Amino acid sequence: MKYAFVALVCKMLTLAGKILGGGTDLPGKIALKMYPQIMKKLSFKGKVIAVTGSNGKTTTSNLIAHIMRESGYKVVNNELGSNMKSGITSALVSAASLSGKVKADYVVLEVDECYSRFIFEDIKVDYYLVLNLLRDQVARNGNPDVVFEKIAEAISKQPDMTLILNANEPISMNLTIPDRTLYFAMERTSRSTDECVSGTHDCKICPRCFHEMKYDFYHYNHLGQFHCSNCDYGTPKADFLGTQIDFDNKKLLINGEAVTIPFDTTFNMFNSIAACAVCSTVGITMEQFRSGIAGFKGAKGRRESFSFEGRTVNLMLTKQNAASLDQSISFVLEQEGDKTILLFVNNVIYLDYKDVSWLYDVAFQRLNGKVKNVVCSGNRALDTAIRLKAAGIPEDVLIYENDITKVKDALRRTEGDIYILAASAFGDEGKIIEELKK
Amino acid sequence: MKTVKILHLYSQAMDLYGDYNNITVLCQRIKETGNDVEVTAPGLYEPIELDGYDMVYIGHGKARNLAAISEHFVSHADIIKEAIENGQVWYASGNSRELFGESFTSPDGKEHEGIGLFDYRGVETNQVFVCDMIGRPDYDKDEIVYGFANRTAYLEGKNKYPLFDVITGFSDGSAPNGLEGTHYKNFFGTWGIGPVLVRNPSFMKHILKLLLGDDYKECDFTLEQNALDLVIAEFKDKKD
Repeated sequence: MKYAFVALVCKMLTLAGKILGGGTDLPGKIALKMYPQIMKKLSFKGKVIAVTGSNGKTTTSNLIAHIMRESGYKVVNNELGSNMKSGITSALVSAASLSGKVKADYVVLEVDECYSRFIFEDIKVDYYLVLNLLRDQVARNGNPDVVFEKIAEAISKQPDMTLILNANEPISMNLTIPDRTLYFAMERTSRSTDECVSGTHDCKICPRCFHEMKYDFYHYNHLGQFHCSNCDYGTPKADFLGTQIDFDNKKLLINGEAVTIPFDTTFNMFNSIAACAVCSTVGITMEQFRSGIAGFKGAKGRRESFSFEGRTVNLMLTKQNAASLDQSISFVLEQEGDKTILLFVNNVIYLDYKDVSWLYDVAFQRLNGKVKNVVCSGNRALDTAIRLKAAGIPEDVLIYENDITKVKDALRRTEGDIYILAASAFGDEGKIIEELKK
Repeated sequence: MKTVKILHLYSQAMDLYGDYNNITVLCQRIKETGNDVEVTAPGLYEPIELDGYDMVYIGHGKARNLAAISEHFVSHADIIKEAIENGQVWYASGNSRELFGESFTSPDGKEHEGIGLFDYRGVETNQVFVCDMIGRPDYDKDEIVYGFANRTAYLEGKNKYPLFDVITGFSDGSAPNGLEGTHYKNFFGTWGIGPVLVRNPSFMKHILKLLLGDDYKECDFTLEQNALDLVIAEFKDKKD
């Protein structure tokens, strides 16, 4: 009876939120306050899949849900990326009946790496896809080992759950539980390198025996084909392997079957293989996967472009995530023509920390000689300029302007297409965009 | 002209938060003064050889990595203590400081030995603690230095040789007590991670002078000082 009442409140708040455009966390937050055990009252008709990782969880979970829907299944997911307990409560309770039955064929949940353990306490999860673990929003998460422990704790609460892990990523692959783990991996691509070209390498030593880790090649950061110099830990034979990666034509083979995808980045090639691993494991056919992924429109809002005084402005949002920023730099370097980068760095969220240490994990030296100018803005503009100077970017290439209203003038002193690497992603970069669009 | 020799210990295992860029920029500054520099990063678990080096650096690392390298480090306790007592310049950031105390705990709860140069003890919490700090360094109380801690451990025990008088922010222990870091002879330790030397001209200059002696020449720190002044002003704005 109590469940029905709280669920009704949650559903009404969710509906009101949809009409009024409110957040998706709030209904769940209120429901949890009224009834902390509410998720324990839920029952599922179909399979529950949880997706986590430092990079790609929003795209991959939306991709999986999209393919399942296109295949004719009823799917419940937290599409808007509200991936902590309250957001997931909102999504599930509003989709359930007043008796707590979630009548979907599949529930696909994007879950925050640090919060899986709280969610897994309450609901039974059948499949857990862990995409990768890298340094990400370090002021919130610390280092990947800290996150690893939290995910391991989540896994310990689900003794029957199947794990789907990345065989190219040695930190999260160490979550392996024999006999209930499936692996996905990607073979060497045209973008693979023999040495790590990213600013961060989170696994130079083996997480099992602490001796030196060797890599046959790198995809990005510490992801690649690895083997320990001392013990037998290494990339195993993958259950789902991406081969013949063709970035130009957005094609690859997964377990020998040709697939065309709507992406051309290394991140998303991985995400597509991971999505295929999940879909195939739960019984979606390769034909259904192929046709589903072809029509996927991607995650909203992470990359857009507009025009400023005849120059194209490309906006690329990242959180305080060195690997994402490194990938954005790789993307910029692949583009033709003259380029100017606008790097927008603010204080680190919530308590306004003035830390920029994570910028020192980005390989900015790759921009040297490749861009006309780098304009640094945000309230850490000068500190960002110092970081770029440390990376060897000449001072005459650097412009720093922490007054947002003057960024427009600063950009007028530069040449080429503009790439905004907004590394705050918490709203203030919106002001710069507004200024430029004025 | 001098060639400064820097030893970077455990570069593979103690490598979080871009901390090594302190050394990258220190090298740039040494060259700016017209001197030269060489950095050596030995292989993991190779015997430590300290003779001939002007400075030794160890960065902040994952807690399990710290535990893994500690036995190897402690097996060289005698030569390390002797070098520090004899005035070799050392810079130890973040949790690497735990190696220099009596002992420390790792995430699995095990106790590990330190070299016992300082009488503090490292305590692992498995919880991420982050905090800003501004403080006055003991080498020049007119200066203010900014640091950022991102750690899962703290140091327990009396801080006999503090590096900073904290104006606001973190200390060595689990609760603020107004003191942070270690400055003993030419050993510098701080929980501040990332570009501490890069962002604090007074600290960088102090290390440069120690390393270069008569070969030291002034460098241009205008941008760095302006950036630091803005950071300090933000703390003042918050107080007002």
